[in-house]
Amino acid sequence: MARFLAARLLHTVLILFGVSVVAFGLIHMIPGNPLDILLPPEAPKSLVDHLRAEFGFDRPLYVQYLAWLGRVFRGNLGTSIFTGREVTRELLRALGNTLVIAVPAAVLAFGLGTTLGTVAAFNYGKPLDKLISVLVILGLSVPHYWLGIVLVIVFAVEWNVLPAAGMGGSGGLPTSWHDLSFLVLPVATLSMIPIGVIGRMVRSTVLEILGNDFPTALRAKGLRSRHVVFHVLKNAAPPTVAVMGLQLGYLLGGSILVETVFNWPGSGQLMDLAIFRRDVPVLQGTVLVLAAFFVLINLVVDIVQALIDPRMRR
Amino acid sequence: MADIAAVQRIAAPEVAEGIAPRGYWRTVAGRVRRDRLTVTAGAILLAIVLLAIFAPWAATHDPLQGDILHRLEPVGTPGHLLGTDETGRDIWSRLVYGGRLSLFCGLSPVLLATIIGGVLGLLAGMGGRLLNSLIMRICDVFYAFPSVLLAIAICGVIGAGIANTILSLTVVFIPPLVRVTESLTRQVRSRDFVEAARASAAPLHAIIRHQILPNVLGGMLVYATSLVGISIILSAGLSFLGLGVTPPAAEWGLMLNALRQAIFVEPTVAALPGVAIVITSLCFNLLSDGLRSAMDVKLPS
Amino acid sequence: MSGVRAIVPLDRRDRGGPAQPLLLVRDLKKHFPGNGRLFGRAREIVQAVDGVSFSLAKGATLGVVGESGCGKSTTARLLLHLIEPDAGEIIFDGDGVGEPQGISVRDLRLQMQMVFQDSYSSLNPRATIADIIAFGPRTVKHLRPDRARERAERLLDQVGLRPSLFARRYPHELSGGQRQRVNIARALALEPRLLILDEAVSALDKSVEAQILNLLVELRREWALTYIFISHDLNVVRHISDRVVVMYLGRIVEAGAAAAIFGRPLHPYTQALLRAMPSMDPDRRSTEPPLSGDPPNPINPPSGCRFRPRCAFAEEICAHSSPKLEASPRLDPIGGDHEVACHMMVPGSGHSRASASADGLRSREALSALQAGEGGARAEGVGR
Repeated sequence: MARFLAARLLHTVLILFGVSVVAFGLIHMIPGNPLDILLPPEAPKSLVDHLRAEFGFDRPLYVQYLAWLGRVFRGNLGTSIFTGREVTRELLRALGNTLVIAVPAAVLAFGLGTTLGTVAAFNYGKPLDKLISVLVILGLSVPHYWLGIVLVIVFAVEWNVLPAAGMGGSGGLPTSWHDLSFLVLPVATLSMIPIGVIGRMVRSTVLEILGNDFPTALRAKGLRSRHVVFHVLKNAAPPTVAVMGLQLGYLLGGSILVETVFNWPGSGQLMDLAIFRRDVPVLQGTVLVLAAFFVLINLVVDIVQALIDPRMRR
Repeated sequence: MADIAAVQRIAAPEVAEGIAPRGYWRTVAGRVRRDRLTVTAGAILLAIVLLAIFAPWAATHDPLQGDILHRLEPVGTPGHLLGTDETGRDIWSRLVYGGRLSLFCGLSPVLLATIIGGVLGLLAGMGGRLLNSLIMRICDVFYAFPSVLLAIAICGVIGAGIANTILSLTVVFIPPLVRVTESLTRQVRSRDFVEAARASAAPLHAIIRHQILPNVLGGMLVYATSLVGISIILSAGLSFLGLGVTPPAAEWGLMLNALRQAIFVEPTVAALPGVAIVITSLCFNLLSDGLRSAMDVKLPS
Repeated sequence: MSGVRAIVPLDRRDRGGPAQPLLLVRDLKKHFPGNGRLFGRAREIVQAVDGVSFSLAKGATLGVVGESGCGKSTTARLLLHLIEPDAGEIIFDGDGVGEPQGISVRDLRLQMQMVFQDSYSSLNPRATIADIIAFGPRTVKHLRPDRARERAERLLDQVGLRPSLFARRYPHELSGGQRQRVNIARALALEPRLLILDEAVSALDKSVEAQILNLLVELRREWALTYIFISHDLNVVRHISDRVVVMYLGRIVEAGAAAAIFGRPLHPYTQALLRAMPSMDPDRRSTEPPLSGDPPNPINPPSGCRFRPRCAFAEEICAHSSPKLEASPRLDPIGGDHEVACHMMVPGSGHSRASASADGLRSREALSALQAGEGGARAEGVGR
């Protein structure tokens, strides 16, 4: 087990380095001189010089990379060109906002997806299973940003029960029903694809387990159905946890589309703005942090999976 | 054991005559044909593709010209069956022409990624530990980015446009295809008949071509078709954000974005491009699922 | 059958003449690192094959018996260089394999082929039977497709499958026995001189097994083949082999003519194996298990003689030194060249049962131990 852990950690560190290289390299993928891209042509020389010094564009590439990496380790992700504020602070704030919708979405997806998948598997072949399967596959085929628009149309325009966009005045965790109402649609939209993925995965895993002999053996021993279900789910847990982790990462990193639809000031929207404003430090920082998050989530998922699935421990 | 010697050498009991040999793909095709859902999905898909190809004949108006006086007409308006968009262009015609771009941007990355990813995966699967590690670790790095993030980041950096969209999506799809191909290759490689082929001193390229490849392609195909649905959604999403196709071209994602303001005025019209995406993506997913179940069960059935 | 060898017509590729053994193996070794591998040296070593030597005359059939894990399949793959040996020599018809003046691995494979155990994956599921058999000739000997096809169909005929029925079929449409015939045809497609049969009939039903064995015997005669027949089934090995080697944990513990091994086994392990063969006679029941102790673990084997944890006669000397495989000096050879690796058979080895004289006193004791046991083999006729 310790060997497995050590190997996994080493692997993660290597990947993180690779990620940082890619994030750093983004800016150099832009055609043209980075400085020209960052600043309009009529920028004052002092600003140009300041930026050149801060980024060190005249020094060789690996030196720039190392300098940047050093700054990152100290928590300094640079300064936004557009707003002048520190990237780190902006990013943390935006990330917090994203988590406000991502976490409930993940919980909803996990709960609903597992339930639907299990119900479908236990009713294999019957109409209920077919219905759920159709819903699941529909969930995977629908662009979630479009679904968001449709939900807005239905609930905000036609029925006018929920707000169409924005985060409300809370600027953080919701403290009232009013604040909560801003959450409903974005969370529902975000959770749609994970529900589909998890539901499908749970269904096929449970089906596979049911195809083994031991549930029958359990029932023959006299266990009540409820307990059999519990045992089956315990066996279905490891691959499901793995998929869940992936979906969580997706929720964090891929929320940009939903945040655009709902004008939610999260990390996705931050990235979107950064792209259009050519605000490279913000873009670099966001990409780096989100990807790093994803990698770490995968690591945690792997560890949890190894803990609960005795077969995986070497 | 005298009984062994006593048994005559009998020719093998014979397979019944008249039954045609069933190859693997014939069997798969037969099972797909019997699956009504998959066949329906395939038929709808075919219709969409044909509409896109024959867009100039299927469309009723010029997709790029609009009459601003007749903007945002609802569905069912005579002359404009599906209404008009925010600058007065006919929605039906734009949907039909948009199909070209959306399908193209959806299919090309998967095709390219399958070829590139397939070759890399094959190399990684067949090669020694060093080559395998090299290829797989690099893939892991790209895998570390959530696909949406990666696509948007690349497009955001290299700019908008069709070519860039295809490029960024190809980059996004290569790592999973490499993984799938590598895993399949390693599985096939360890099977007995491959060892038998090695034992017969056959050259490596012959072994890859005759033993490995035919057994890997099936799995690759299933996975690739499952990616098409996602690709269409992603490429439309890129255009939705303004990172993909540029206006005034007709493309479903672009249309969705442009019509966003219209949801307060003419919600049905605003939602239409999304419906096109949903139907197309759904059909691809159903097709992929059908293909997978047809290929899944161990022969003979 | 024992001791009499058919005059084998010389193959046109023959290089060493009739007296030259077709295959000479000296001290073949293969170790696999175990799982404890993270930082540096391997913690555990699987000694799969540890010093195997034997010689095989042209036209003869060598049987290799042993339980799972004894290394017989690994040995087969080492012979073909499907796995690289760590040490040892393989000499084919006088030429060293892989050596600069000798024969290359590729050329070796043109003369030495293997028939695999029938399994679901022994044949390419995506190819027709004819394609499977023609693959070798087409890609290695560069035969034209139609010529290769002809050869495939001829081979199908020889193994008892009607070409018109089977050539265009796929593996999943065939039964186990039919698939095994295809395996044989595939191995013969390159016209080898030596055929290694690795558990070739183990997966088949008994009646089918008999058919395939008879097929193999016929083919051996028609093609003047030399066989190495690997199996854990002693009855089958006895039926088809001229000489037999018995393997245990990567080493050969006994080697000799088939009649000698089955009629007068000298090594305690061989004796136990034979006693373990179930007899058809209800009067001859065994009440005790012939072997005690745990089945062998190839990881970190015991020091000295590897069989000693399960041997009824083990003594201190057995832990100190490994017995060498050598001809027993006392037995009048039934078929010549009866070798054993046991301290009991070596006078002056230090074992209490090894006699100082060349007299057969102790060996007779070993024999009587066998007679007291179930020895089903003897009743069924030795030395036919």
